[in-house]
Amino acid sequence: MRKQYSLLISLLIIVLVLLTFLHLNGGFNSWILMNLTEFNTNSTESIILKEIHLPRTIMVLIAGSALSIAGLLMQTYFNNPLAGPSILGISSGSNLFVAITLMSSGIFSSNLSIISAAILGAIFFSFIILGFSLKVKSTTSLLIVGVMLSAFTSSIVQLIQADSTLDALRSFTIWNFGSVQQVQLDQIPMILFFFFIGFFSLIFLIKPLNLLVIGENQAEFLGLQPRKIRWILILITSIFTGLVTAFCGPISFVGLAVPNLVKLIFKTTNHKTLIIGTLIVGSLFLLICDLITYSLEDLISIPLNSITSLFGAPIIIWIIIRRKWND
Amino acid sequence: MKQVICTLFFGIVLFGCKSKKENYKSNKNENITFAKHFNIIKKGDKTIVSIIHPDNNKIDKTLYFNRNKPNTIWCNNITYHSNAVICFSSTFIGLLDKINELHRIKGVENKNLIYNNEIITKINNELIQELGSPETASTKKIINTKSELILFSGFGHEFPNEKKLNKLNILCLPIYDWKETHPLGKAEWIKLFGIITNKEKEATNYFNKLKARYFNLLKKYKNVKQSAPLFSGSLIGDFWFLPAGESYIAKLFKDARINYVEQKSKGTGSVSKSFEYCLKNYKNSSYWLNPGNKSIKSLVAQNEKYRLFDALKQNTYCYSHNPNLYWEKSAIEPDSLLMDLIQISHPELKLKRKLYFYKKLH
Amino acid sequence: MIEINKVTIGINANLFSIDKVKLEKGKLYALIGKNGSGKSTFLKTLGELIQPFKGEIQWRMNSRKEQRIAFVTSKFDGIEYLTTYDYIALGRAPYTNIFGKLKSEDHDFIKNICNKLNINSLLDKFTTEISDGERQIASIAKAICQDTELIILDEPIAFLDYENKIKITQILAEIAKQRNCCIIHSSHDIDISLMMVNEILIIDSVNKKLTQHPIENINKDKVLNIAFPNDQFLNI
Repeated sequence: MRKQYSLLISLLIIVLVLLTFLHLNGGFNSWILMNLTEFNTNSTESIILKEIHLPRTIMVLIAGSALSIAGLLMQTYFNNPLAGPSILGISSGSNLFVAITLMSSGIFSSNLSIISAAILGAIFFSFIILGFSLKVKSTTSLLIVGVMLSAFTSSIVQLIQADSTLDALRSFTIWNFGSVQQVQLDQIPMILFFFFIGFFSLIFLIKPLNLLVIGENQAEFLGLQPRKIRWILILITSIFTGLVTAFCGPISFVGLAVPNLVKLIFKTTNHKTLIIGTLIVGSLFLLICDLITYSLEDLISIPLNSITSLFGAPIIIWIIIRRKWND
Repeated sequence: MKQVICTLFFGIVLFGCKSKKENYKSNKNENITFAKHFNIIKKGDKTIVSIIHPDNNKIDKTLYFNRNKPNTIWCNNITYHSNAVICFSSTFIGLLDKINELHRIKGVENKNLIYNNEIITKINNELIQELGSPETASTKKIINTKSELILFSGFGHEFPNEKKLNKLNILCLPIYDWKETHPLGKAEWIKLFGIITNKEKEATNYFNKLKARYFNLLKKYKNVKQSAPLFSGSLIGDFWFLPAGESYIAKLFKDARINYVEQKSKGTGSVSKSFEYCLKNYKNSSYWLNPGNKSIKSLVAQNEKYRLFDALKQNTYCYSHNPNLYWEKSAIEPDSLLMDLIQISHPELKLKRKLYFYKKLH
Repeated sequence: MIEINKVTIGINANLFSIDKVKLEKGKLYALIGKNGSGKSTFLKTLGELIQPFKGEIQWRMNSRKEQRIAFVTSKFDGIEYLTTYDYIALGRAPYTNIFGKLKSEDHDFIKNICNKLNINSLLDKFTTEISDGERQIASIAKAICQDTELIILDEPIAFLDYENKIKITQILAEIAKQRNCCIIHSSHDIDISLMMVNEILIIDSVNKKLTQHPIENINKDKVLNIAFPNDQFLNI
């Protein structure tokens, strides 16, 4: 890694750490951390910090990284800067499987069953998209297939909802909004566990990803084993996507926008740099979005998804305009 | 399902319509004392009813009635009849029930939202049709019920396909009872239902008795000391919706001498708060109304963090209403609702009465 | 190095057959034939992407494929934010560890090749910023970095101007000699091929045969006669 990258990464990490503390504190509006001198486990402040702020901050950091990495992997694999877990319908696969799980076993279904359902759903839908990608060569057409897949899934979810018990429905409705606030403290260990599984697998993906930059056919001559890599990539993307979708519901545009931002900042195709950058910038992006909802909380109630779309959508449009289109 | 719809309705819809200034200066007939969104003027045999638009407080619809021609309504120079009615809100069923006019009902929204046994039996026997919500109800199905009048909760818009239905001599009448900010204002809409069904006298009688009962309660518990703090609602997505300080529910809380946590907030709809705000401010409150779940188990399964509230921890003061009964009867029996609230919030009175709308969560 | 005896080329159908072709180290070969005669299919068969229709191709060596064969496509459009150096360095991938880390020997190898090809000024530029000819040289540099005995190029000069066509063919000839590897490329530029290559392989699509001709035994008329036997106007 070249010198300027290390400098840039250190700088981003410093900003990330500062903002993480600010976020843990609850944004600019409250000063919980400052009152911690009188920390005792029963004060309202410490309960809020432990039960509300901590899970939310951890979830934001992980969701931002995980979705962005999933986006990066897909963009490299499909050789398409507009690929991402939500636009290709992978998230909607998780969504559907979680819906089925919740509806069949009610809100008392365990965390593990929900997260497994989400990951399985993501894997299943990744293969559907992969199947289409073999038939549909044009990058934009593939995105349309993804959008159609999402639309198709959401109507199935609605059909399932129409015929389900009250409590299950309510918890699913809540889950469906896309939120980093629903996660509970006791779910955090499992989230971290799955995140780190994905995270450590990334180390072994750097070389294949760098080869995939020049296309699967060319990469094969340089020793890439396409079938094996395809499996591993889908598995890891699905872990990252499913993990977030299981606990936050659908959060849009992060996976799509962040990798493009990172490429723009670092101007490289070396995935060692890109992965590190994406992990940091992904967390940072969602952290800033959620800090905005914190700050506006007293004035207006805005769902996190509106803020990510507010920043994400223009970035995407800008990429489309800027790019010489190959289709 | 029911609860979700009710809560969403109560939360989101009211939230969308909050804080409209009431600038309507009516030349009100003295008959209407509490309701603000309709108006009755009498001239000999003729009765003129104006429905007042909730957003701009202008007249939305003017209806003409003639005592010599029962079951007939004139609106915009078209003659309509009121023998067969569709009710898109169970509140209207409660109102019609009080004046024994349920037989006119030919269509409702959804059987699962109905409390009234007579209506449910008729739905089972296909004498009353289920039509779905106004947005999704098929016009063909509406026509097939041979109804002449559609009563729906108005939000300032026309009923879907209203012009077409008018041509088929079906009148679409928006009811703004949910916009009323006084509990008796909601109930006073029974007077309009009385005029429509030729039961004006019965309606007025009922309302006067109700008014007397309500004021008696107020008088009786005037000197009760203010209750411990009470909050209501639960999270919908990331936000917690509570009735705003000038809303109809807040007025009831006030009348029940309840220390309602958001009594000072502005607006007639609802206020939305973050979970953190709620935890900070309501953590030590004693009473939690309408958490929107049937049991504490399912409430906690939905969100583990609800346990942090004292009201739930102590497991004693969490109350939820029976939604179908509530939406059907609370508007027309605000005295029972008031009594429930007094009983819940003032255990020191040691009232032995059985709660009517509410049930303690277990 | 490679001997091809009694092999039929084609994916689902017989395109042409080969009685005997022998490819040797240190030589540059040109493959000439009509459009659709099966040039790409032959190169892909040679590159072990597809199997021959009938028969088998014999190899002397038996190491990993990515260390035996390098393949260059006719056009590389450049990749955003991919520098020329990083692109060429991908050629070392078959020799790096699982993390893809380049050792100092690898860097030396790459620099050495770039020096020879005289493309040091391009290395820091993005592949999208350099010309078509420069990109083709970079692709060839990448293939050379792969350090293989066989380099296959599918119409490497088809999209270039005349000057670049000559330059690149010349580079290929020199590389074959210097690095003692076998380079085979398909081409439509018969004149250039006759000037620079060691041997020419011609696909006769009428008789469905591939024949091998050392450059000393052949001239342009003969090439045209074999490759385009029915197009009489060419002989005028």
